[in-house]
Amino acid sequence: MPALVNYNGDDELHSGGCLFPTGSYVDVYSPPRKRARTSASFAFSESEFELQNQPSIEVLPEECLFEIFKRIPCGKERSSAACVSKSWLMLLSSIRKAEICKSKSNGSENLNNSAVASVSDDVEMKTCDEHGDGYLTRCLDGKKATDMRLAAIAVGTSGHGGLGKLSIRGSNYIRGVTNFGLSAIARGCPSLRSLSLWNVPCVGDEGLFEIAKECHLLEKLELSHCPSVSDKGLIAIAQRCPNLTALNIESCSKIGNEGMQAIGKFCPQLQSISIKDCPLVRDHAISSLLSSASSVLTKVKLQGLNITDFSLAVIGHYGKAVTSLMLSGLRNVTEKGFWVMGNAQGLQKLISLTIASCGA
Amino acid sequence: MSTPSVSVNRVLKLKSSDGEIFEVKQTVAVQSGVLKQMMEDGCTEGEIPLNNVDSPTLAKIIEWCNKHHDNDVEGRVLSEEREKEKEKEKAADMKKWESEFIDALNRDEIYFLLTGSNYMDIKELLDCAAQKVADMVKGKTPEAIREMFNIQSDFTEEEEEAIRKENQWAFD
Repeated sequence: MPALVNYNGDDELHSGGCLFPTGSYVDVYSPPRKRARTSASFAFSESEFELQNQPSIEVLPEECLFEIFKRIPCGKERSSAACVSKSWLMLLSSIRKAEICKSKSNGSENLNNSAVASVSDDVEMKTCDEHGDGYLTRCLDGKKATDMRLAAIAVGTSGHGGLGKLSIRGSNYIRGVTNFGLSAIARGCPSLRSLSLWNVPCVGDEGLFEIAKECHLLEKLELSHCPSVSDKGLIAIAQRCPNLTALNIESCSKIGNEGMQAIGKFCPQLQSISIKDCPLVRDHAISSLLSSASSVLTKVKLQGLNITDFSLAVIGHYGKAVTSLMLSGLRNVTEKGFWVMGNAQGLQKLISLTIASCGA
Repeated sequence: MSTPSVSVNRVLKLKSSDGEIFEVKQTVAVQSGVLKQMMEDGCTEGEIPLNNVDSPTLAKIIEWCNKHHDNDVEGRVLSEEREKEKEKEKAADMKKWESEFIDALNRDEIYFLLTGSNYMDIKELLDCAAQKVADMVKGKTPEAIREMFNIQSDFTEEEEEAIRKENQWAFD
């Protein structure tokens, strides 16, 4: 039996006066940014290949596989490799699109393009022609929303044009979507323009950091019932995604003034904002949003927030471009606030005004 | 700290995981990032244990480094004389040598070489070996890849179907 079989990542490799810094065991699912130069990061399950007699390629440390996978060209080859095993899929999906080495023999390019047309007619896979440039859309519901699925999407779509729109509605109970899955999307789909996350409790700031880092074209962000996302995640998006035009936040208990302030400051293209049931969003958030983003902000929806007459005054004063305004379930506002809003004379372009369940 | 210059005549003693000693010129050893670092840090006295590289692999790695070193030296002399064309020719020869070198290895040897070159941080060799394995994947179905590399699929049926659907176009 070849000696390689014995490489099961145990003390053997760490023993002796080792001269090189031995890193910790690197998890297979860790992001590839900092690949520790570790000699024994054999994070694959050991029991699995104890059963086998022949050495498998999986005995290679993760960094070596990473070097190999970088060299597998985009398109069919990557898709095919992604179907080999979980660890292959996860590792492939952790590689940034920009990190993939350009193939020396460039014959595959044309193949890729011709394959675009042959995407299956699965309901979940449709090309979206909303903007006339036919980018890909994926929508995952509940049970189907797993990290593995996201990883598969990240690898699969990057070959044919790139993902433009992703919606995740709910998350698998057992293997739900986490930051890992979202990071895979970020790395594989730098073309992402629209992201909706509904009810994905395990996705937090880390996932949004990755999106912010890779997907600078993002135009639309929707976060609903994402209790792990905080201001930090939103600030990262604000700072790195200057094209953001629409933001929709609902029932995110950790998002508050600072996040909104960053959006107001860094997203000059913001046209539409909707905030609902976020207890930490207060007057300060509304005033910084309106006062700095006022030039193109046309749609404002504020529901179930702890804001006061002060916010109404700010809207009345700065909402010069607002055409559609909806205020609902604002317990702490009074008639006086509405009076000030109207008399500030800023809402010159207002076409639609909806007020419901406001005041005590 | 003093940076002892890399002298042509000095040799390093490398000890493979199975205890064999290899002597390598310092000028050759600089191709390895870690050995270079050690030379700069002045800690290359005595035997240098390479716990992750066995002797057949280390021999291959040294063969590679020697070849590239020789080529560098010759190249320098030639370019001083004149002819850029010769240099091009040399590069082509080297490419040819590299591919023959890699092609002559069996799969286990390539795995070892990858691990070893990664461990010793020899970028060009790592590139070359990784490219070789990547080329082996090209044009193959997932089943063929699994068979070739002896990988067991750990997807459930349902998962595999979903993954395939997402990457369907690879199978048309």
